[in-house]
Amino acid sequence: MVVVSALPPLAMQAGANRVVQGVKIEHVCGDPALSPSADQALRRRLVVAALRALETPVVEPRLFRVSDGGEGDA
Amino acid sequence: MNLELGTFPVETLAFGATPGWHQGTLSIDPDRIRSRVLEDPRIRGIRIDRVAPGERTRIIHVRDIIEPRVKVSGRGHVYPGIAGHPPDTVGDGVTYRTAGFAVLLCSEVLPHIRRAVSAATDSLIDMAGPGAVTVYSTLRYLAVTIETDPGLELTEWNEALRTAGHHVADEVTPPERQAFALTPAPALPRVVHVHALNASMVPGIGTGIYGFTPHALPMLLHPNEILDGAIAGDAVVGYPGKCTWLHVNNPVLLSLYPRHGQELSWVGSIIARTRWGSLAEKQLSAYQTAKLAWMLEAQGALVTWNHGGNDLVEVMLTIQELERAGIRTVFLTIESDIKVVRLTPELADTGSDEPPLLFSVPEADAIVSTGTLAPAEPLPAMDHVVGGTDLVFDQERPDIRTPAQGPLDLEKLSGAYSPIFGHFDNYGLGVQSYHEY
Repeated sequence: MVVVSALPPLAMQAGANRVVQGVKIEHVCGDPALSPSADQALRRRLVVAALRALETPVVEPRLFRVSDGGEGDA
Repeated sequence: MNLELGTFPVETLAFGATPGWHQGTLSIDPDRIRSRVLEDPRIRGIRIDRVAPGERTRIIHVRDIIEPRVKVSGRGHVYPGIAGHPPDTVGDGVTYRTAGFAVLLCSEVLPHIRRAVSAATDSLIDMAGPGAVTVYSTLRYLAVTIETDPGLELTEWNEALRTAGHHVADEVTPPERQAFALTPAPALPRVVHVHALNASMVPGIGTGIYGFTPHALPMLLHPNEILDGAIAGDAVVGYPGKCTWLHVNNPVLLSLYPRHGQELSWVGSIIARTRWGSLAEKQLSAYQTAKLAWMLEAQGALVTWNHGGNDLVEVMLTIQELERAGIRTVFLTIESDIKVVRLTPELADTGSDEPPLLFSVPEADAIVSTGTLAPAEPLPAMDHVVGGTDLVFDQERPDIRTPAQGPLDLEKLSGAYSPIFGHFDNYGLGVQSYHEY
């Protein structure tokens, strides 16, 4: 399972094992302040990061960031 | 900054043509109040009731509770920056206040505002019986029930109601005097109060500092500014028991003040707004709050908050950062279990399955709990209802209305959050507070 969360520390403390850093509580998976094309690119990167996280074996809660290209960091 | 507070205790509330205070009796002219409030074309109707502790009355549709205060000398106006009051810095001079008495503003949430603001929930205050567990059941009220133009937009509705409430409070003119000053106390440990205050995610409403409501980085207030009303609530967000009365009667201020110069040197209150939308903002607010405390050379910190939910993330990050800066920190909080769960004797022993706090950090190792509040039994029927007739427990279904006068099984009716006003007792004012622990 993977969780895209605006608040990864909260998700990880609750026991989620793959957490992707989302944007903001009001808009976790996108940013209405961006132009439509930039927002679409951001949303795509988030989904790709989430899919990469899903493919990655983990032994404890781990944070994945979009900026890491989905490769993840702990 | 030197403030003298003159307190006028109110034991009887009388209606009469000559307003004033004499030996515990506060006289109010209802006609004068009525005409003052109805000057605003946004207000369609007003009803005035007197409510006293111990009577079998249920107050509903609470929008705000305001303690009348008046500046006798010194700059500015109490409750600055709102209801037409200027934003001049307050906290100096002489302020008179009433004690045990407040103006209570009632108005049912307009249907379109229920949809726009999920926190504009219905709430109630029982003045007697098992539901009378908060400090708000102990005050004497001039209850003003307002009917507004039903088409008002959110911020205009808030402004119309709040202005009405403060105009009524301004009409109340109340010789014990108590002086408040942070006289330098160089030999004592320096303590800062970190006053975490929720800022609304809905623009234009919520708790304000001199009327300024948006999310902002931390600022320093002298406690005298707070005693003069620099922090005030709005007329929208009743949950979880926010009101203007609370801020000027905050037991944290009133407990820290006598200790200043005796046990500690209080360096002021850092206002840290909470409920930022992103983790980076939460971190920035926490780090800047701790930096201000460090620059004030604080050795100890008392952290309080006034909301729930994700606000706890920045509050906990603040505690972590304060401890990392070498500032020993105590956190005063209600346990997050604010759902309506009947407090059976077994549950009082074992607790519920809810985690006590949504989020925590290892550095938060000194926490004072103000408890969890839940009535032991359903609320009984009351003889009188003030503020309206019906309650709505589901914001999504305003058409489902429950008569307020009858018995209320809150656990059945309101699964999510307690509708008892002030039940979310962050500062420990209720009868089930830490005093009993």
